[in-house]
Amino acid sequence: MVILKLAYRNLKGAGIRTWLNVFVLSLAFLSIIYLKGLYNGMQDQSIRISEDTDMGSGQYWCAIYDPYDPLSLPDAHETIPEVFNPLISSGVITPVMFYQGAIYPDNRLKNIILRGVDPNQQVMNIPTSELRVESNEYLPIMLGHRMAKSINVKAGDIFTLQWRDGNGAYDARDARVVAVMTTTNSTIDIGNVWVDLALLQDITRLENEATLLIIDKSYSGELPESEWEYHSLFALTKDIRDMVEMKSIGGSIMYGVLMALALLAVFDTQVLSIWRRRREMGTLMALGMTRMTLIKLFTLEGGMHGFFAVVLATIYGAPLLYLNSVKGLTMPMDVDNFGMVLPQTLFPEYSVGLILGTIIIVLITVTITSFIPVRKLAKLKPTDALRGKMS
Amino acid sequence: MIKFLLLGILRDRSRSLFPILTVFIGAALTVVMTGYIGGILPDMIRLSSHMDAGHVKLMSQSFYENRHQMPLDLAMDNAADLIETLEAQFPDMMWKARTRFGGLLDIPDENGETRAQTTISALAADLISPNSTELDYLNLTESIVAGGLPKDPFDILIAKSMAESYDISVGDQVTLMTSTVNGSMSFQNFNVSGMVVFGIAALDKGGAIITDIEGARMALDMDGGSTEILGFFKDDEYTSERALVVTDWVNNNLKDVNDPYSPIALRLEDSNEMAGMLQFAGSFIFIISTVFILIMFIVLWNSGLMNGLRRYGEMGLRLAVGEQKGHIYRSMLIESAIIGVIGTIFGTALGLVGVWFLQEYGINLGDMASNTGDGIYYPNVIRGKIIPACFYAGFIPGLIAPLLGSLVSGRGIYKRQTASLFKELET
Amino acid sequence: MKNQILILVGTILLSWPASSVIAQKWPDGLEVMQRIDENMVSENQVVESTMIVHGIRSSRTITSRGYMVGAEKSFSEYLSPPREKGTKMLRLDDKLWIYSPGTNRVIQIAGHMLRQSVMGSDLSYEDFTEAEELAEAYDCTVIAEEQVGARPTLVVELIAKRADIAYAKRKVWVDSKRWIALKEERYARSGKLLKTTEITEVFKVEGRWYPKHMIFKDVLKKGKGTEFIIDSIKFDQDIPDFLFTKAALRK
Repeated sequence: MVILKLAYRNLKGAGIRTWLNVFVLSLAFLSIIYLKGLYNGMQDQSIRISEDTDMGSGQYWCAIYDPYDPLSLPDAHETIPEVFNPLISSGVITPVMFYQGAIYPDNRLKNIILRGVDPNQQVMNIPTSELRVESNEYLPIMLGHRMAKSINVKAGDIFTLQWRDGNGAYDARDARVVAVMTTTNSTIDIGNVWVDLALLQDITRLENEATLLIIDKSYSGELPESEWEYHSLFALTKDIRDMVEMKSIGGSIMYGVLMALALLAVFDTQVLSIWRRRREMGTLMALGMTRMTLIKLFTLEGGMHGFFAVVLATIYGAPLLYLNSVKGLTMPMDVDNFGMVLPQTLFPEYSVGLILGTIIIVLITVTITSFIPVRKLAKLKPTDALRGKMS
Repeated sequence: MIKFLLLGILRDRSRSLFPILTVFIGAALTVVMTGYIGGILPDMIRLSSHMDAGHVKLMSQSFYENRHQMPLDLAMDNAADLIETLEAQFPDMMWKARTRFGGLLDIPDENGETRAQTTISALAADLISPNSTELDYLNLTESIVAGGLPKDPFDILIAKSMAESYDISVGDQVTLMTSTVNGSMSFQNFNVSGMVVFGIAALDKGGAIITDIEGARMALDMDGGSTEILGFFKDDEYTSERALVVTDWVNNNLKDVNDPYSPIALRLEDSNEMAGMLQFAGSFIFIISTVFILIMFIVLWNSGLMNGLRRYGEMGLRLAVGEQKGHIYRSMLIESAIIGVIGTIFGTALGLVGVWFLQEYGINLGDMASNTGDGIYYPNVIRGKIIPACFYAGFIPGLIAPLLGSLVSGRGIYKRQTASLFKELET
Repeated sequence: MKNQILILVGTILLSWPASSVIAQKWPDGLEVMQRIDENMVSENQVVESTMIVHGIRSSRTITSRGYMVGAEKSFSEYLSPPREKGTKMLRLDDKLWIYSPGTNRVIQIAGHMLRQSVMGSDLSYEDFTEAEELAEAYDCTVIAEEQVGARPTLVVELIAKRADIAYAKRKVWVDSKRWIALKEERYARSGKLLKTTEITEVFKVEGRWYPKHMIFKDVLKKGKGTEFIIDSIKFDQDIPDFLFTKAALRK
C-alpha cells in the first residue's frame, strides 16, 4: 500500500511528462477500442441484417436448392413437409418460394427470381404487408430499391412478368409495383421480385410448395427433423465473418504500431527516471527498502501510466465513443454494390469483453514495458546508488 | 558552435545515445506507418484498376447505359481499331480489350455427349500474346492451383470449386455454349489448361472462367470487338488528373452522341461508385495518419522534454562558470536539433528499409481477397509503398518534437536561480 | 437453329387435325381444322427456308433445310451463313439436340437454355419442343368471321384441354376459301397475348396452299419480329429413318 501511494505521488510529481505519456497511451487505447468496435459492429450488423431480413435464426432448404447453382433454381421447390405445419401456422416459420421468371426491360430478356412470401409474415423484417393488395387486374409485386433502379421502375408502375407454371404452361401477367422497399440487404433486392406466396403458388400451380423455410430469430424452441436440410444462421453467415476477420487483421497492424509507440514512450520514461533517481533509490534502500520492493515501486510507477491512461481515456473517450456508436459512421459510397450484406451506416459496438480485454492488455503490456528497464535495479548496490552511481 | 556540440554528442554517449535512439525508433515507425498507410489506397486502386475498372475504361455508350444487364449485343465492334487510335494518341498508356459474358459450360462424357451443364460467368482478356500484362494484372499466375496458364486462344482457366463439383480435370475438353453478339447460339470447345482459386467467394462459387480474348471473340462472333477497353498508364501510377486528360480526349473526339456504339470513357473513380470509396478511404487514412503523427509527436516531445530536464545540473554548472542563459538555451536547442536530425536520418533509413520489405513481400491476410462484387477490390496482401512522404514524414515528429521538448524544458534555465540549478548538478 | 423454325412451322401448319365442338352458324372448329389438314397433310416434308432476324444492330439472314415427319420428328441443317453452316438440330418429341461442326459435339438443349431465343429471333427453343398435335391438345371453336387483308377468314379459338399445354389459348385465323391459316395468336394462362404469327404471303405447291412468308413476334419483346420465308417445299419424300437419330447429327 505504501508503494502504491508512493508510486502515485511520484507520478503526480513528474507533472507534464506523466500526462503526456498517459495521453499517448490513452489515444492508443482508444484507437484500439474504436477500431475493434468498428469491426465488431460491422460483423454484428451485417449478420443482424441478414438475420433480420433474410435468414432468421436459420433456414430449412428443400433438397434441390443450391444458392450457388442457378441451374437448380427452376426445380428448387417442393411440397412443404407436414412436420413444419404447426410452426408455420404459429408464425415461427415462414415459407418462401423462389421461382424463375422473366421480364423484358429495354426489350431484353432478363431472368428474375419471383420470391413468394406470406404478406402477413413477421419472421423477416421487410414490408411484405404491402403485398396485401387485392387486384384482379394486376399482380401486386414489391421490389427492392436497387432492383427498381436497375430496371427503371417506381412504385405504381406496371410491367409484364412472364414465367412457366409448374406444369410448363406459359403465363404472363402485368405486375404492378405496389411498393419499393429500401433495404440494406442487397441479396433480397437485386434480381428479385416479391409476390404473395399464395398467389405465386396459385399462378404456378405449385400448391403448398416452397424453396426454403425461414425460422424466426426469436424462436428458441425445438426444431423438427425433416428431409429438408437445416442451415443455421452461423453457417449461413460464414462469408461475412470471414471477411470481417480478414479486415480486422489489417486493422490490428494499425493498432499494433500505435501501441508500440505508446509503449516506447513509457519505456523511455522508465529508463530516464531510473537514471535520474539513483540517489532516491539509494536513499530508499538505505532506509530499509528491499530491492524487490524497489523494483515493485518502479514497475508500479510505470504500470500506473496504463491505469491513468484508462481513466483519462474514459473521461474524454467515453463520450466520443458513445456519440459515435449512436450516430454511426456512414459510408459515403453506396454499399449496394458490395457482394455481401453491409450496413450503409456502421455503428461501432463496444462490448464489455472488448473494453475489459483491451484494458487488461494495455495494463499488462505497459507493466511489462515498465519492468524491463527496472530489472537492473536487482543488481543495484545501495552505496553506489547513494553516490549517484549506476553499475 | 555546431561542431563543438556535435563532438559533444558523439563523445558523450549518455547525453546522446538514448535521445537519438528514441528519435531513431520514432522516425522509423513514422516512416513505416507512412509507407504502410500510403500503400493501402494505391493498392486498392491498383487492384481495382487491374481487375475491373482500368485507369480509364471505355464502353460503348449504349452498353454503358445498360451495363447492369451486361448486354453483349451492345459491345464495341471495333475495339482493335480503337486501341490503335488510343495507343497513337497516348503513348504512355497501354490498352487492353476485355469482355465479360455469361453462358453455359457443357461437360461431355467419354462419348462426347452431355454429362453435365453449369452456368458460368466468363472474363475474356489477352492471356497469350507475348508480354501481355493481363496475367499479372488479373493475378492469374498466383491464383493457379493446378495445371498451367493458357497457351492457346482456346485454353481456359476455371474455378477450382467448379472443377471439383463437376469432376473436371486439367486437360479436359469442355464446350462453352453462349450467344454471340448477334444472338446466335454459339458453341466452342475449350481446353481446361488450369484451375484457379480467385479468393473471391462470388467468383469461386459462382462458376467463373477466364478465357483468352481471341478465343472469346471467336466464340462470341465479335471479330476485334469487346465489351470494354481498359487503359492503364504504363507506370501504373493513377491520378485522376492524368486520367481526366484521357477521358476528356476520348469523350470529345471519339464519342458521338448520335452513335450509341461509339465509346464513352470513364475514369477509375467514376466506375462502380469508386469515387465515394476512395474518398472514404482517403479521409479514414487521413484521420489515422493524423492521430499517428500526433502520438509520435507527443512521444518525441516527451523525450525531448526529459532530455532537457535531466540536464538541469549541467546547465547550473554552465551558468556558474559564466555562460549566458541565452547561449545555453540556444546551444540546447541546436543540440536537440542535431539529435533530431541524426535520429531522423537513421530512422528514416531504417523505416525505408522496412517499407521496402512491406512493398516487396507484403503481409498476407489469408486467402480471401474481399471484393465488393462490383469492381472494388481490397487486397488480401497488405503492401507498403515508398511514397515521397516516406522521405520527409519522419522529420515532422523527429525534428520538431525534440526541439519543442527542449524549448519547453529549457525555459527552466530562465526561471530558475543559478544557485538552485547549480545544486542540481549534484543529482 | 433455323431448323427449329422449320419445326415450328411444321407444328403450326401441319398439326391441326380436328376436334369436336358445338355447331354454330359458323362451321365446326373441328371441321375447319380438318380442312386445313386436308390441304396440308402429307407424310413428310422437306423444306428449304430463309429466316431474317431483326436484331438491335443489324438484320441477319439464315438459310436452312429441314426434314419433318409428323409433328414429333424433325431434323434440320443450316446452310448459311458460313458461321452457322453445318449446324444441325434434331428434335424427337420434346427433346432437342444440337450438333455444331466446330466442336464436333452433340449437346442437349435443356433447362433454362430452352428459354433462350433461337438465333436472336423472336422464337425460343421451347417453342420447338411442343410435340403434341394441336387438335389433340386443344378444344377448337369457331368464334368469328373476319377479314385478314383481303381474305375472308374464320377465327378459331383453341383452348388447352390439359394444364400442361404450353399455351393455354390460341387463336387461328383460317382463310375460308383456301383453308390455310393466315394469322395466329398465342396466349398465356392469364389471357395475355404472348406471341403472334402473321402470314403475309401464300403460294400454291402441288395443288395446296402454303405459307410463303411469315412474321413471328414475341409480343413482350416489342421488336420488329422475325421473318420466315419458305423457299421450297417438297412432300412425301423418301427420308431415311436414320436421319432422326443422334448419330446422324455427326454425319
